[in-house]
Amino acid sequence: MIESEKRRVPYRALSNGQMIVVDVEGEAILVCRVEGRYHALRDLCSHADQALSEGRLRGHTIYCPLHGSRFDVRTGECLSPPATFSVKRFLVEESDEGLFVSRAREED
Amino acid sequence: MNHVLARANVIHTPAPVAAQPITADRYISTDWLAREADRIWPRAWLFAGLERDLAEPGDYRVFNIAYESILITRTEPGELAAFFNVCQHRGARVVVNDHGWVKNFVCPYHGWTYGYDGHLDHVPDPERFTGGIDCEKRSLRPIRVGAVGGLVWICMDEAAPSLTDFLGEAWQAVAAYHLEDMTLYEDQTVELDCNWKAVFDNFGELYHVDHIHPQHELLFDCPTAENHLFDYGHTGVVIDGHTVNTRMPIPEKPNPYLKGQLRMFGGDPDAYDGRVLEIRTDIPRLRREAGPRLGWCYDDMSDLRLSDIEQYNFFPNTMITVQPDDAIVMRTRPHPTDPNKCFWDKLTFRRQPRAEVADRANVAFEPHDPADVADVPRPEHDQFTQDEIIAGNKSMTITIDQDIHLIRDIQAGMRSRGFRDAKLCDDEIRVQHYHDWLNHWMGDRSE
Ligand code: FES
Ligand code: FES
Ligand SMILES: [Fe+2]
Repeated sequence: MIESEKRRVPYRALSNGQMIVVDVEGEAILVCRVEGRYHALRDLCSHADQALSEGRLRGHTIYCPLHGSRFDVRTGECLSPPATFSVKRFLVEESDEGLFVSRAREED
Repeated sequence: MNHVLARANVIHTPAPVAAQPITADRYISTDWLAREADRIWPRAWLFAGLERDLAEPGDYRVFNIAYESILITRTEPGELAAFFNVCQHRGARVVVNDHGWVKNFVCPYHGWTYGYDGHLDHVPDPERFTGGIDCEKRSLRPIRVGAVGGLVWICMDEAAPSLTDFLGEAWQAVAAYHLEDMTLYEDQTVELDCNWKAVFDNFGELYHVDHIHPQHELLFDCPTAENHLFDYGHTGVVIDGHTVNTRMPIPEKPNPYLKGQLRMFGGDPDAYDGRVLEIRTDIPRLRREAGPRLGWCYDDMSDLRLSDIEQYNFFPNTMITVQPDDAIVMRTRPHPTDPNKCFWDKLTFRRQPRAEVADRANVAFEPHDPADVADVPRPEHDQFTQDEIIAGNKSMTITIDQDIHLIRDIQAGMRSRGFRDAKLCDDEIRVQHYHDWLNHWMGDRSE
């Protein structure tokens, strides 16, 4: 995989249940924190052109505001219709300098 | 020599039609099923969901009954609202999930967009509709919705009585238990090979209990239970709890279940040797004494409610069992096309102990199990088939599993040429009352 830019998230820490959007190389990425852990997904529903960050985050589930598909923020997995595909997931790392998100797709 | 202290059946409102035999057709015929979809489901108030699942504007739940799909949500001013889940463009389902949150209700087919109040707010490319669109006329079709005790009910009939008039006296009893303050622990649905009414009938009589639920004779006195018959076909039963089945020899010592119930409230099981039947009469006092320390407040509960158990069947399909610290709300729904199949929903509630109750009484808070105080996340809905229960992979409590083992055989029996009609005993009076009302609803109801 090509080394891609790691982008510092302009937050040292998010509170639980909070989400923000960061621009990494022109791609909008949603970063959220649930139960103390950070997760990052492409900020785009897999169903239509809709930012997921405008939806609601409850527990590990994010609700698309347009037609209500649900996604698991830990995996990007699509949990309910009308979307059928999962959403791309990204790597988030926390270090002493802050929070970093990288375009490299997280390996399982 | 033991004697049964039988309690009377209490008839609050008699059925509006004469008792008819309960024949098999209502359980097995597609014609009956279709007529129910015209005469029962669109005319009665139906339990459709939980208020706690509709906390914020835009939260929604879908309730499916027969061939109808109902969308329930909360509007910006915070009111509950319910609509047919049918787009007024060409009839697509406006929401395709069973629950969630959305910013607007956007039909997935051509994007017609409705507000939380059902108003048609946006139509893509309106200029393609020569003559325009009347947004008022093309808003979602509303239906009646109301909530009591944290339970949401819907009614598709404008002419039906109000929710509280419909639920009536039977609800007054349930209301005393404050279901709205209990915590939801389990949300289950079992798919069953029987008509939806076979499940409902099973909860309309205790005659079967001695036979298939042997554990109950160690906890309740079912043969002396008191049946109640209400308006609109609702029924109830009040059963002595914290006791044993008095038709059986009364044991010398409390059984392990009764010992557990006594210990829970600080009672001494050994003190009841030779006086097992006095446990029930002492339990209200023990409960009131121990309640505050355990985090439960029983101030507005009668003594009978602290010892006994009540169960109410609300016409046409909701069954509620209540005790001071727990409740079960169940519902049976028809399969849309097959009279031999149904869905049986079960919601399990418990009252969590609360430190404030102890604080108010100025005693140290000592919950029975400290784990009971922890936050309980809203459980996921779990749906499975009867085979998973029979295989032991899923359970809905021992008692209900015992019912499930038996109930599809009842359906099979009713389909047989060998079955004519049911012969009910006096204790099955609730079943007769319910079916009399069902006949009334299925007829033209012109009194
Ligand atoms: S755009 Fe997200 S569900 Fe349709
Ligand atoms: S059917 Fe809903 S927009 Fe066409
Ligand atoms: Fe039973």
